Amino acid sequence: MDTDVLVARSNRPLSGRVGHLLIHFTALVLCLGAIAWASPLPQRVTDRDIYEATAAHGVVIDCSDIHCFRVLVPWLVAPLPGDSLLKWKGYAVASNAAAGVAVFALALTLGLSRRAAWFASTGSAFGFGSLYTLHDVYTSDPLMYFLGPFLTNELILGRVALACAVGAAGVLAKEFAAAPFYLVTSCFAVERRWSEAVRTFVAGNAVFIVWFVVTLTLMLRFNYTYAGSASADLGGGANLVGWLHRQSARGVAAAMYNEFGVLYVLAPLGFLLAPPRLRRLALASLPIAAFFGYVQQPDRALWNLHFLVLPMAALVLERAPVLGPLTLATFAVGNLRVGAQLPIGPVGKLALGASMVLGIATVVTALRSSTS
Amino acid sequence: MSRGLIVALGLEIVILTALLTIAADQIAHTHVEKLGGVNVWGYRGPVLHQKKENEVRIAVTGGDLAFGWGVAASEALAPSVRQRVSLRVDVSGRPNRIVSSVTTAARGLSPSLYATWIDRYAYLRPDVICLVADPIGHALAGPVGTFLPDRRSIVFKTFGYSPILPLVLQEKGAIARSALRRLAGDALDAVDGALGDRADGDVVADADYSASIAAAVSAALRSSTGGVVVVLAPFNDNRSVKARLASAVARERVRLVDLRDDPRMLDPGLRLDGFSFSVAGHAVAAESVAAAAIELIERAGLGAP
Repeated sequence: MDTDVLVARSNRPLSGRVGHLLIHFTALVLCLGAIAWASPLPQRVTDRDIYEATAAHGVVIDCSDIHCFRVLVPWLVAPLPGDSLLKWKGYAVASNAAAGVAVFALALTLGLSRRAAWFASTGSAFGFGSLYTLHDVYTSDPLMYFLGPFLTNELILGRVALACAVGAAGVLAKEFAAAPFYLVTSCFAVERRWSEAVRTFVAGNAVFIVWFVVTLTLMLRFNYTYAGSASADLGGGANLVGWLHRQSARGVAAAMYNEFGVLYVLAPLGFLLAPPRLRRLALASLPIAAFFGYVQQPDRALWNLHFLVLPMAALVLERAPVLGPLTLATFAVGNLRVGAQLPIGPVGKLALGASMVLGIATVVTALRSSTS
Repeated sequence: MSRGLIVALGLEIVILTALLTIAADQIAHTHVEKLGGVNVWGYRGPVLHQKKENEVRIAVTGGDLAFGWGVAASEALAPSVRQRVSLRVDVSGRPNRIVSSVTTAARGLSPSLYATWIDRYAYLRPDVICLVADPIGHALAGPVGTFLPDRRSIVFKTFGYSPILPLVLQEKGAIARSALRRLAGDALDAVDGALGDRADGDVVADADYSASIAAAVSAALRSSTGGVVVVLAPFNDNRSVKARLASAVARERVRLVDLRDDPRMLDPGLRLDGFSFSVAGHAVAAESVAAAAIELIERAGLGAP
């Protein structure tokens, strides 16, 4: 663990930190809850039936859908009282709010200022991936958006046992929960911190073994298969090739643009400005991003790594005192349209365009401030 | 690095190797189960889905002849019988009836093991079991001596999971002349089969033949709702066998089909290696077997109401 991080953390009382995090979380829950309430139901086939069947039956015997393997969220949501949609919206709101808080904590751990951490946290909560899961709530993604930054932070801080326990549970929701372990392992290995690297690697393997055992158990005991999922067809292009075939070039470009929007402009400069560890994490995440972009739809899979993109973008935003917040605000408003699918077509388009213009201006301002 | 970490890492490597081997075995199964191999539970074709309420399930069991060496799982006797039964049972204008079939026969299975084999697959809940007995004097599993599923396997004996990776690696290694693959297959086979034993005999013997078939009929009656079709191979004169089985088959829920009664079955052109039926052979045999199966299905009220 970094000494400066330890010292910085020990200077603030624990109750105060927890209190701040709770207030932060509550504020995000209120905002995201309002958006989830306003977000319309998807007008297309979603994975709702699969998740509801898992919630109702525990296991769906003979299931050939990849979502059947993702049992944790339906198992946790099922016992809660109330309407199914309400419960799942509540889960998505809570997870995305927790993701925002986790990104805030991770940004501080990585050595960013509190202002930059706020930017990163806000961008996480109101980014495309988060808001899209408030529209299509029947998915394990919101939990992954939380676990990515949370596990990375815990592993960097040396709390490997806690991370391993949470990861072992989280991997039952989605395979991505194992990724932060290998991400941090690579980072430690590059830093030649071999002992930490091996410890994290062992923990990651334990999480991976849990996933493997559960998957094989479901396959052998309940006849689950990946037959209905392109993701498992690793030699045949997985989901990526099918997705590219189904989309026009314009559709692919639009989907990819919507995913990160102005962050594409901000993050590269942020990478150059980033503390060494954040840079190493970003580089180590590239193979993971490539893998998940290949097996899943890239326009949604890449948001799993938002917890590294947003701190980099935040480093640029904080260097433009006026333009930075404006850029973030327009980014969030644009995502209300493309992510949460709120019926604000013209405003959303305007906000997306404005965020890009403001983002470029922010980069220029940040470059000037860096050179001066 | 601490000693504990090294031990944990070593343990993980062992567990991951075992899990990856199982995963590779499952992948190998998906490649061969529709062709000449068996699925993870040791029967031919893909693993069956849970039986539905409106489903009539037919199982074909026995030894080499029922297994259908040389034809794909979808070309063996069971699917041919299923098709004929389906035409009769699933009729338009009546409530929908699904007819499914499964080949639970095993290569090299001695008649003395038919009864336990039927019990093993009772969980598939067949409505009609077609017991195709290998004839007296038949050399079990042929000259190659491949037992499918591999009943020496300790994994199969313990968990019912039928490993196929050793055989696939051995055969791929032989075809591709890859010593490494053959060696890997042999090593896996040795590890898995080290503690097992081959209980089956070499040749179907006359002694205890009728007692074995009678025991199998009793087991099949216990496992099925509709009944049992006992099928005798067309290679021998079955008169003495029929006489000895008379008491075993003289029951309401049992039908006897002697394939020798159909002169077409004597045509050598319907066999692949002088013994195993070709696709056409299975189709011709299915005519007689399906007729008996339909009788049992209708008698049990499983047909279209």
